[in-house]
Amino acid sequence: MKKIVVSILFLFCLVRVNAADPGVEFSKGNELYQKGKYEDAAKIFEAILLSGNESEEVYYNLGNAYYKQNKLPQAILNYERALRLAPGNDDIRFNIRVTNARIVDKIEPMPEIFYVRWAKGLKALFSSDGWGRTSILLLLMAIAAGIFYLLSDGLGSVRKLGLYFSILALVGCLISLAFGYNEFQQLKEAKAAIVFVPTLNVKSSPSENGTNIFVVHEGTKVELEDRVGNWVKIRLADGNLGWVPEVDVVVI
Amino acid sequence: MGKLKHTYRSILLMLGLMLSLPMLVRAIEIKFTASGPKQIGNGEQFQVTYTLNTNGSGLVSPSFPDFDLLGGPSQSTNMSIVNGAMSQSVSFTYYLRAKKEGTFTIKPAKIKVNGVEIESNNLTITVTKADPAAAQRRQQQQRQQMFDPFADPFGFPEDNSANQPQEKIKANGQDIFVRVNVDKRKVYQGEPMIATLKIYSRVDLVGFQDIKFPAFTGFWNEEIQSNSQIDLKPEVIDGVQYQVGTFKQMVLTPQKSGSISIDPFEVDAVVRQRAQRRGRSLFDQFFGSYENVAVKLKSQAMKIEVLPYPGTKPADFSGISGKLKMAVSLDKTTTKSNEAVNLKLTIGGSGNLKLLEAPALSFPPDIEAYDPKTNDKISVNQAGISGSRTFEYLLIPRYAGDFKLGPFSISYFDLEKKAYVTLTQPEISLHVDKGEGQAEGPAVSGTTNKEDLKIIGQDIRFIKTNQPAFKQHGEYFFGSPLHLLGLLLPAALFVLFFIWLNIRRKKNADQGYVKNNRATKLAKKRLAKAEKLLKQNNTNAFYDEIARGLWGYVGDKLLIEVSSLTKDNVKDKLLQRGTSEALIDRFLKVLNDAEFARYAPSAAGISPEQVLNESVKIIVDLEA
Repeated sequence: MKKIVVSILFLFCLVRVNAADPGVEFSKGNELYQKGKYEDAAKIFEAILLSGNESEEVYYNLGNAYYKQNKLPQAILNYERALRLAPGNDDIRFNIRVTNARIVDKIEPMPEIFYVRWAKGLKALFSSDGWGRTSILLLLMAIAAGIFYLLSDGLGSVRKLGLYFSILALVGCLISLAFGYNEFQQLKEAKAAIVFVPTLNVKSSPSENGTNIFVVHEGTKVELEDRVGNWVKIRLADGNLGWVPEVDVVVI
Repeated sequence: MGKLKHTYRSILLMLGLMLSLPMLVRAIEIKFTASGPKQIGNGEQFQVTYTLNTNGSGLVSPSFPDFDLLGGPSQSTNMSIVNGAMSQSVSFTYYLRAKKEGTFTIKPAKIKVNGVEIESNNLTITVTKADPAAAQRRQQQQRQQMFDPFADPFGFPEDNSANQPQEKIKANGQDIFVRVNVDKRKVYQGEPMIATLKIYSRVDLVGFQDIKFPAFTGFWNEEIQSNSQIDLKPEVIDGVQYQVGTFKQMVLTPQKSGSISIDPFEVDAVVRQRAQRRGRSLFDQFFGSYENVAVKLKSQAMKIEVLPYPGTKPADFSGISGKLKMAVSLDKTTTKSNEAVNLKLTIGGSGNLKLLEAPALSFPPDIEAYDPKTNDKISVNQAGISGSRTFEYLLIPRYAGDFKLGPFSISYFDLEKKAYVTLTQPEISLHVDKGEGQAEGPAVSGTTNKEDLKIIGQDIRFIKTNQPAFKQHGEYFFGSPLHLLGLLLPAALFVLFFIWLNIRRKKNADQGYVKNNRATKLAKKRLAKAEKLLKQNNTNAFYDEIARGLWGYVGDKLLIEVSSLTKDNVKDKLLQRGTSEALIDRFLKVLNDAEFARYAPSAAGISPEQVLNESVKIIVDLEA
């Protein structure tokens, strides 16, 4: 079902073909990776991204190349970037889990209420673009069902079914737009970052004089909440808050 | 007897101390008071004391522009327990000398208590003209208060020196002193050294009180001997014979590098000496006067230079400096699955073996290893620390097979070679036969550690090799014009469709209204025409006109197409409109009559006039 949806949605997708073919470069990077030349492979993938092209596969492979070089913060950063383009991808999630098991900080995420968890799981089904296409599809379905309802005079209960289906599809369309907008916001605004220094003292206030509250280590993902001067306010998955210099983290 | 006298002496001493320092030990609220003389002669020395009745830090002293600062602040801490409640006070004393006449104010000092800064009171001191006699008297009074306020109430002037027995014995000088002796002043980190705490005396020692041993911060320390009874042995130092007693001897192992200081060792020695003043009681006079005097002794603080471990430490560095040997043994080399074997790892030699931790050994995953049991044969004596420590690992192979244990390695810092030495022992093979209970499958061994190791052992999934669909960075479909168009265009089309549908419906409804209106008019016209035809006696045309009038009327009224005008259809529609069945029957009957009479006028049994009247009536009724 999902495949059909995706392939239909694909019709809406705008593919731009670039002069320096990133597809060729991508294959070249993969070859180097398979030969174990992770450093060179990483360079090629980075060059593709630098040219402005992006796709979850490039980020994912780049993350793998960094992981093999034992550059865990860079690996996590690129996995997270891949995940933003493909929130539902199982491979990306798996590799993030494996990499996280190797970094210093083991942070227990705060437990979430079941419906929040469900909503997040559902949201992760598509990227923002995916939700955008889904919203159009659902709107078309709602309209089709609505037209059926309006025209099917004298069909009795079948006619009612058309109305219900139309309303359902419309609600689905609105939910898609909400999910898509949420993910879109996260894409556009820097809301999460990865710690890039081996040991990072988290301060109680945005200044060097602040009290050290706790310490995080490289590779840890933090949510960005606020920005004052060169300092950012971070929130850990377990809910701890504090301030760190902006240069010590890299935005996803 | 001597003891009683000594007690009396200490009480007096305490009282004197309390009088000289106004201490408010029992006060609960924090007080920071300044005290000093109100009046003083020019050129005289005096003391200003700031007393805090609790713990404080960060004293900010006032400036003394009008006086010469001779010394200070000298800090003294006093602790007392009254009715089980402990109170503490700190005093800071400045030694000043008046340098000009006049009245001067000393500004308050400040101190921090629990982070809060508090201020003392002001002091006003009047400096009068120099008066040598008064100065001497005052000093004398002060000294008497200090040491013997109740001595000689009759005011017999005494020799000052006789009041101060301390002057007789030079504390920390030649006659009596304490020392911390160490065998080395420069050691490597982890290198054991011996420290001995000794007292040297040339006077008559009676006992000790208030012994304060140094804390030896930065060292791991272990006592070799600790004497409750201190035996004095003669020892000659620089040609002088002393009686020497050892308080304690200990092995110190520095735990960090750098310069580590050993705090002074403090003790109050009680010394018996001949009293050189008049005895206070008849008893003393009779037996000759000796008295016991407490002398405060303090060793010098010393620094030990601890050299860090040189270079990069090996991964299996044990943290031990010295000289070590290693032996590994397995109690049997053949066993059955699920039967335990013992692996013994013995590390012996000299060095601080007590700090040796079990080396992290990795065993094959199918062998369950338990935390090792530690057996020590370690002796601590003047030669340092030596002996052996044995780690005994209990291993349970869960499956049959041939396993290799080891190789085993541990490294230490060799103090003779000044280099790291790695001890290795080769692998030991263990043959495991199939034992009982193997069929039941692997035993569940689920420590969380192993679970963690499993995840770490996992590898990431392979890269993606399918050609990706590239898009420009920062280019999103969501919110793009295309997306908005995709949403708005169908919506707009739907709205247009809806509007069109409504307009059409309305138009249809209007057409119905027109027909409805037209129906009555047309029916009237037809009936009028029929009446005319009747008058002309053209019955055939009359009935025809009546039938057309009635059919046309219901057709227009009920919006039924002429092609689908049947009696059943009309009946259904009329019933749907809620017309009574009686009226419908009447309508159908007139219609029947009219048609019947048209073809067989005589057999109808009904006159054309009746048909006309009935038709008019029915239309009127249907209209109603």
